[in-house]
Amino acid sequence: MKHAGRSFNKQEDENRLLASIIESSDIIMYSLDKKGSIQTWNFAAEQLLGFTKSDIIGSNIKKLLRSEEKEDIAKSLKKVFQGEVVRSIEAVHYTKDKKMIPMGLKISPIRVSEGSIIGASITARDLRREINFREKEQFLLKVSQSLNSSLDYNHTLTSLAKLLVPRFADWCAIHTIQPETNTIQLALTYGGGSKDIWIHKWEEHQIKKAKYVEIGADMLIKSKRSFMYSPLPGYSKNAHFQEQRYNKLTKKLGITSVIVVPLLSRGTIIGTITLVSKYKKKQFEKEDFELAEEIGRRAGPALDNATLFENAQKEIQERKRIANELQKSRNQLRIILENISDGITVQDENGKSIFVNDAIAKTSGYTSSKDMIENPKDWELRFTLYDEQGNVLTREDIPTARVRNGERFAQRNVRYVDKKTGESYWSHIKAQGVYEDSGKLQYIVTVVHDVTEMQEQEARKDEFISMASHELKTPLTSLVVYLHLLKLKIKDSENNELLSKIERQTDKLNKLVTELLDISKIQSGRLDYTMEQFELNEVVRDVTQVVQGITSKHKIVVSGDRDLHVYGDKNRINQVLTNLLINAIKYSPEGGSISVDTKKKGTFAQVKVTDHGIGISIKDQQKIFEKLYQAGNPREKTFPGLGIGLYIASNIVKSHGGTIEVKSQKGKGATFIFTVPLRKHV
Amino acid sequence: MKKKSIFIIDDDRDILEALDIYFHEVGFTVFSSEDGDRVMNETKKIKPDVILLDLLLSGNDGADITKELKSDKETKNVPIVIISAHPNAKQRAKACGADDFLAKPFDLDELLKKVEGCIKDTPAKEELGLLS
Repeated sequence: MKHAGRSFNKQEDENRLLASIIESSDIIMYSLDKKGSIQTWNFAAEQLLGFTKSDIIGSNIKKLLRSEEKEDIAKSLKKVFQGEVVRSIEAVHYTKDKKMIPMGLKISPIRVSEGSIIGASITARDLRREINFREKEQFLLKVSQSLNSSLDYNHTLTSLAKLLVPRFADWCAIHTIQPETNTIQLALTYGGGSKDIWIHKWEEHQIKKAKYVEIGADMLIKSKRSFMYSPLPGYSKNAHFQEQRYNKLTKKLGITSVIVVPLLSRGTIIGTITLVSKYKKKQFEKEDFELAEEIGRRAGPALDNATLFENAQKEIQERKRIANELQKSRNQLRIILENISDGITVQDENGKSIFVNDAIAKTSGYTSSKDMIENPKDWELRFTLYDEQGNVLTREDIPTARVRNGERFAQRNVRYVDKKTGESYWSHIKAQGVYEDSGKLQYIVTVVHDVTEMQEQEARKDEFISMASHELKTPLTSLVVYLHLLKLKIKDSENNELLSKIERQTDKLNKLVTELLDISKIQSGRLDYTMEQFELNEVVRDVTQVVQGITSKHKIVVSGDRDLHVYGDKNRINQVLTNLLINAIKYSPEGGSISVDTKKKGTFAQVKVTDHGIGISIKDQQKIFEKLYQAGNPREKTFPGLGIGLYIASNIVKSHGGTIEVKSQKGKGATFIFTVPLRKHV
Repeated sequence: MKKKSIFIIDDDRDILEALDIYFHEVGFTVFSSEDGDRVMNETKKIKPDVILLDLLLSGNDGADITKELKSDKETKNVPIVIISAHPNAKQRAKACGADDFLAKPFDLDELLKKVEGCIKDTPAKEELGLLS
């Protein structure tokens, strides 16, 4: 017995030891008999679940379980009673005050020494922390996933708000910082439902009073630290004014706690999240604060990306819009340019065509503008080009080429003659340079206007004048010839005097007809010159002699350099001087001296014809070299003549490369000065 | 000295008549024609010292006649003076190979100078031709 007693005692001791270990363990442990009735219940179990040993021992385990898990546990127990160990099964346990605590259970069979199973021992872990952590992880994962699922900024914002409300907070506000202005902007407020009066109040306040949502964000941005007021602090003298106001307002709205955390991206604060709880029950805790900070860290890059993406999209859109606008106006311009009847080409600085319209393509013998751009040399082979004088023009004479070679603007009439068909047309070509800011030539814009009809009209007019002159000259010839014969026959001075009068008038008529013809020649550019080197003073002598012969009232005085050899058409220079002298006589009716002075001036010889007649007004001076212009009022007593002498003279001088001008004052005579080149101009 | 002969062709009868009178007066043997049809044959027959030719004959063109005369060895040495009232006559006269040109209306003394000048030049040319 002693032995037995001792051994019993020894067993007793062991049991007591085990019981005290179990009792003092932090791990919840209890045991069941085979019917599921609770046999033991340790201190940790009492602590966590609130049931005392006396409350629970003898009760069925079902008392602790939710109905949906009862079956699972029963199945597990069945296995245990067959000898298995069931590890990690989760089941919620009710506490005495009906709270639910998630538990992780391990159930092992209890065997007696001969091996038969008499019950089950259960160890249980409080899973709340773990589940909380897991949920938090899952939540954060969801945050990351949903935030990164879209690059749409507003969508990302809304996603974030929906994750936060109502699950995490009752209301949230998201602010962003505008990097350009560094100002805080409210991006979104969200309260889960549009009819939330409370949000209304918030927003009302925000607008009407202090923008205190912004104040919270501003406080964070200034301090660069997240903050939580849970519960909201009471009035404190030490608090910053801004902080005081913030708390006052939040309290007024019945807010119980606030969290403000930054949205971080690439190490900088790009905005803030304000989380608000309005129920006492759901006041934020430290874990919420940490989670909020984590959300801020995760949401930041997503929002940042969305912002960048949105900005990029906006920029792309803007560029597209501008490109569209440009294209539109370019199209409009193109339509105008393509349909205009004038030919238009645009060339780059190398002479390569970058635009030609249909009009120029068609008149240049191409099938289309594309054809012309692709075969730029074709038209040069097709046409021979002439100027108005009938000289063949080279490519370099065309205004476009002249602009390419440095002129800013060039124009001329060009006659195109088709080499095959002989057909011809006239174009007025105008070329204008387009320059870069640096002054470098960028484009040459050429406008080609068809002037064929105008030129043909001119030609018809010229033809008419030519024919008229011819028809006038033929009878004039007879008149002159018979007059000559008559003069040979009539010897008495009285009749001879009469004949001289007829002869003078015939000469005048002849001169008028000749001038008329000259004008038509000048206009069609066909006034011909026989150029040679000659002594200018010889011409001066001849002309003064002839002109002196027709006046006795005037005295023509010649002075100047000797041996003035010039290059020009002797007869035409004669004509110029004659016209000037006749003019001088005509406009100095009182008579007096007329001087002709010649001298060398640079590479020119200068001829000055000065009279002391009635002079020419400034206004008239500008116009006297124009065709058919006669100074003075037609009603005034003026002098006969067509007023074409000076026009012809001016044209002849210019054709020689010289200049002609007049210096005069009304009533004080006039000086006409013209120049003739000494040598052939190279 | 042998009388110089002149062959005048002009379709204006009045001018032709006046020229006829004038050249008679100054001592020429004058042949005249109102049209250009038989100029070549007449020239060969008459063998004039000089021809005075209007450029724009009705029917015939003085320039063509000149070219024809200048390309026939019998007539090519006969100097031709072209007279015309046409604006471009000077160039055309030059182009067809005429020896001289005078625009209408002209001074008869000037015409005589040109005609005599042409005749003077011709024998010199012939001599040069014979010498070489």
